[in-house]
Amino acid sequence: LELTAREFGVLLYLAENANKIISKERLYEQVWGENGLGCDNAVMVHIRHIREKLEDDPANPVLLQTVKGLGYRLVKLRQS
Amino acid sequence: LKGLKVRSVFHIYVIFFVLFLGLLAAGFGMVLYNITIQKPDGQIGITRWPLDFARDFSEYILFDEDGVPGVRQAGLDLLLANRAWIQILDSNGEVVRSFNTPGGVPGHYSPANLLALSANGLGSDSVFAGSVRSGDQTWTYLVGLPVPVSTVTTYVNKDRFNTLKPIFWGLFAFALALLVVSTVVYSWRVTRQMDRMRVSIREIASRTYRPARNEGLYGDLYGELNRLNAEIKASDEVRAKNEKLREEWIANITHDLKTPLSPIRGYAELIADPETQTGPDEIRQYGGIILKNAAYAEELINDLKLTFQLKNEMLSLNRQTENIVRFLRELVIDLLNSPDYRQREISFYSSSDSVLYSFDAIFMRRAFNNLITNALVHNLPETEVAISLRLDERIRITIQDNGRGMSPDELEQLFVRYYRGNNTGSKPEGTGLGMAIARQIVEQHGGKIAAESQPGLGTCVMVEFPIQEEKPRVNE
Repeated sequence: LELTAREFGVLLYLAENANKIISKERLYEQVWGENGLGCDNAVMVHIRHIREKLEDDPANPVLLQTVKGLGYRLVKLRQS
Repeated sequence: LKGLKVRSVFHIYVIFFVLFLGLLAAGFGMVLYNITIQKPDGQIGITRWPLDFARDFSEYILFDEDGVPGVRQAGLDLLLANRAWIQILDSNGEVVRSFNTPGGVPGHYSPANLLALSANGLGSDSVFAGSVRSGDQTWTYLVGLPVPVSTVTTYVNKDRFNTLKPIFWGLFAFALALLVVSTVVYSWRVTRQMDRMRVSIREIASRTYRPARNEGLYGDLYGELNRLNAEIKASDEVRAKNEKLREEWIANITHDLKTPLSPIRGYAELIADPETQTGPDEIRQYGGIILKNAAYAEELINDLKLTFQLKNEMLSLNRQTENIVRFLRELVIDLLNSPDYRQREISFYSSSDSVLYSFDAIFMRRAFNNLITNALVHNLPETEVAISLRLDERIRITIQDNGRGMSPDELEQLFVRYYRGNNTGSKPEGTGLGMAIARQIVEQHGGKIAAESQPGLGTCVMVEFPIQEEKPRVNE
């Protein structure tokens, strides 16, 4: 699995909070380290890239889920 | 409408009365203006003064042993002081003495001259005549004064004037009497009405007033008194109701404060009792129950304190401008991430991604936590709770569920301090003060809160805040 530094940061933070919903804003603050808004496109782009590398079917994500209106959640699988 | 009529009639009456008084004053002033004159020494006197001066001047005329008239020194001084002059004539009209006369004064007067003189004066002076008697001779004297005075004479029909005079005076006296009598009657009636009014007010104060018919001149006032009485009665009822509520409230509090105490006491007795054999596992279990109940009692006391402080505005908000959308989203996420509500359906929707609002984050978190957990706790696990935020001229936040709903009675009591819904049933979750605290916090932020509900269909709580300022956030 090849990830850029940013993608790794996003995935790391989500993994540290596995099974928990993380809002876009929090993700941005944690990974980019800035207190900014309107840059959530960057978060969405990175999520998409991670899904393309991680998911079997990036259009229907199983591991990295979107919780509508709230944020993202990395699901911890039982067997792994 | 009737009161208005009475008022306008009174108004017109007052206007006419004032006009009449003004006219009277103007007439009086004009008469006064006409019958006053400036004396030669500068003082103001009435216009009769020159005539009296001339008539009274006879005192200053004296006669020598030959019977020739002269003027005393005091009289001469008086004439000089008033810039007046004098001529004394004998019975033939010849001037025998004169003093201080101006130029062009004749030395002889015919009777016709004298008539003209007293009517027109001499030059700019007014001339008045008088006579003095000495022995069998009559002397005429003329006094001239430098003041412009003339006589106005009106001729009347003597017979009619004499008959009308008593009628006129009679009418005047009658009008005066009428005025006096009507004033007395009117003030007597007013006094009586005032007295009735005073009694009425006292009756209102002692709660024995019976509403009076609001008719007649004072109908308006009685109408107001009736309304005052009705309002006092209504406020009495409200007070009685509040009193009852407070008593119930205190009864509820004491009951709920006692509830956690009985298991604490019971298990503590079990542990303390030397006769009972309690193993370490049991002691641990009892201790857990005691801790749980103590924690509940503590929470209840803290909530009571908080609601009391909020009610009396003893706490000041630490308001800071933040994005309330972000704030609510994180709050929902935290609830969903907590073990208690992991499996629950909570959704969040906002029409806008960033809405800046100045609020106290700690209190606001508490308020919305209470509102959302209320929807979660009082409904079945499969109930969905939807939080949404909409922005128009206000910030509108709704917390909607598709749960059991509430009866109108329950709904009415929802935000009342210390009311617990029946649906909590056997497991009392929270202190029963959550919704009241939420309402108090929202209201202290200047917002409003309301709820709608239908049994079986669910409940919707609506919160709205006024927007203070909306400026786009600038990225640093």
